[in-house]
Amino acid sequence: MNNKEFIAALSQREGYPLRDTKMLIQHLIGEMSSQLEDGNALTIPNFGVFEVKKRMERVVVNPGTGQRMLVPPRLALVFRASTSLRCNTKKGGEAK
Amino acid sequence: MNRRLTVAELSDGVAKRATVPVSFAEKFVQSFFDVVEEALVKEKLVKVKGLGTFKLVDVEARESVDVNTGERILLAAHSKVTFTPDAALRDTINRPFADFETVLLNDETPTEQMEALDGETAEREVPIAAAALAEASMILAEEETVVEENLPNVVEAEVNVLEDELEETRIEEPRVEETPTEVKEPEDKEPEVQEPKVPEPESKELNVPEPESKEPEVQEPEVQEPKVESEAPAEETVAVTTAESQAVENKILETVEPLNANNSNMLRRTFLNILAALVCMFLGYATCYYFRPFELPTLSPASQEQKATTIEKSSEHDTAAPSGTPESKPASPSEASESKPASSDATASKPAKSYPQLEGGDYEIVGVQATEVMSPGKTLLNISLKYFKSTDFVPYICTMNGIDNPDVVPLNKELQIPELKKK
Repeated sequence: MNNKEFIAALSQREGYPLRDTKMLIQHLIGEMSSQLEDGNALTIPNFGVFEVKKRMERVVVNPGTGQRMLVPPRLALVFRASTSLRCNTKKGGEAK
Repeated sequence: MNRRLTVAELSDGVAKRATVPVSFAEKFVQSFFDVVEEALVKEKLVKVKGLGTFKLVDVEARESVDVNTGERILLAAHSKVTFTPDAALRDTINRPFADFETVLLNDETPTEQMEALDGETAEREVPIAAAALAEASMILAEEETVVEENLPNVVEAEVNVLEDELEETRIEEPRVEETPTEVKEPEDKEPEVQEPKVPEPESKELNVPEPESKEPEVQEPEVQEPKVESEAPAEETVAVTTAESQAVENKILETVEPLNANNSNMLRRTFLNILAALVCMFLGYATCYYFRPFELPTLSPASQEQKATTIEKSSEHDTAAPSGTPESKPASPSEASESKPASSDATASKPAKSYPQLEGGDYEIVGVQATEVMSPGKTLLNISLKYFKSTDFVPYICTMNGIDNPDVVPLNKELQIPELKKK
C-alpha cells in the first residue's frame, strides 16, 4: 500500500475529504518527528513504540578489500511493535 | 527530553498545529495507526510519506533451545513488523550527529592508528638502546673508579637513570672546559701522577703522601688535576653516548613527523614537555650539587690559612692525626695503620680537595679518616656505627661519596669515611 492508497483508506474510514486527511497526516507526522527529534519516545497503545536510539561508532572491515572504516555514531529511529500488533500480524502473515 | 509520550500528548500537539479540537485529533491519531495495522495485515506493506515504511517480513521456522529446560524446540514460521524510517525523517532525527556523517574518516583512520602504534613501539626501543649505552658507560666508569676513586659524582651519575645521565653531561660539559683553565699546570705531568696509581689502587692513600712530601706546595693542584683529567674522558664517553641517543631521539621525532598533524603534534608536545621538565629538574639538582663544594674553598680564606698550618703540622708529625674529631676512632688495628696516613694526608691535602659538605649538618667534613670497600653484608648503617658509634652519620658518608640513594650502593665501591668536625 503506497501513500496515496493509505490516505484514501484513512479518509474513507474517518469520512473526511482527501485534502483534509492529507493535511492532518502532515501535521501528525510533523508533530511526531519534532517530538522524536527532542529525544522523546512515542508510545501508541496497541501499535508500538517509536523511539530514538543512539548507535555507537564502530569500526567495520570491508571483507572484500580488508579496508577498515570508522562508522560514526548516529541517532536512529526504531520502532518496536506492541504485543497486540505482533499477534495480529503474525496471524495475518500466516493467512496470506 | 527522553519522556515517553502517550497518544494524548501527541494529539495535543496535532490539535495545536492543525487548529482542531483535541478530541478530534485524538480520534484521528488512533485511526491513523489502526489503518496502518489493517493495511499491514492486508497488504504486508504500508508506505507513509514523511514517516516511513512498515513491512511484514516472513521469518522461517528455526530450531532453538528452551532457555529453562535446555530442550530443543522448533520456533514456528511467522512474520514480524519492520519499520524503515523515511530518509527525510531519518536525517531529521540524526541531525545532532549529521556532521559526523559528512566527515567520514573511513580511509584515514586505520593508517593513522597504525602509525601511532609504530611510533609508540619505536619510542619503546629507545630506552632499551639507551639502557645498553648506559651499561657500557657504567663499565667504563667502573674502570675509572678502580683507577681513581675521586669521581663519585660521575659514578653515581652512571648508576642513575638514563635521563639524568643525558642531562648531567649537558651540564658537565661546560664545566669540564672550565676546570682546565683553572689548573695551570702542563698536562704532561698528569699521566705521571696517575701512573703509580694504576697498578695498586688499594694503596692510594700511601701514594698520595709521596708527592706531598717531595713538593708540598705544588701538590695542591696536582691532586686536583688527575681528578679533572679522569673526569673528562668519562664525560666524553657519556657525551658520545648521549649524542647517539639524541640522534636516535631525533630519528624518532622524524618518524613521528609524517603522522597526522594532530597526533604528531600531541606526541611531540608531550615528549618535549617531559624532556623540559627533566632538564629543569636536573639543572636545579646539578647547580645545588656541584656549585656548593666548589665555592667553599674559594670563599673561605680562613681555610687557606688552616692549610698552611696543617701542612706544617703534618710535616712535623707525619703519623699524628689531628685530634679535631672525637668521632674518628679507627675500629681495627689493621685499619688504624691505614687510616693514620690517610687522615694526615687528607688533612694535608684538605684545601686542595674540597670536600662536599652536608647541607644543614652539625658537622663539617674536614678529611678522610679511612676507606671502606663495600662487600656483601656491609651496609652504610654498619659502617656509620663502626666509625662514628652511631647510625646518624650515614648522610655524611653519602655526601662524601656522592651516594644519591643510600639504599643502593654498588658492590665493591670504595667508600671514603669522612672525618668530621663539629661546626
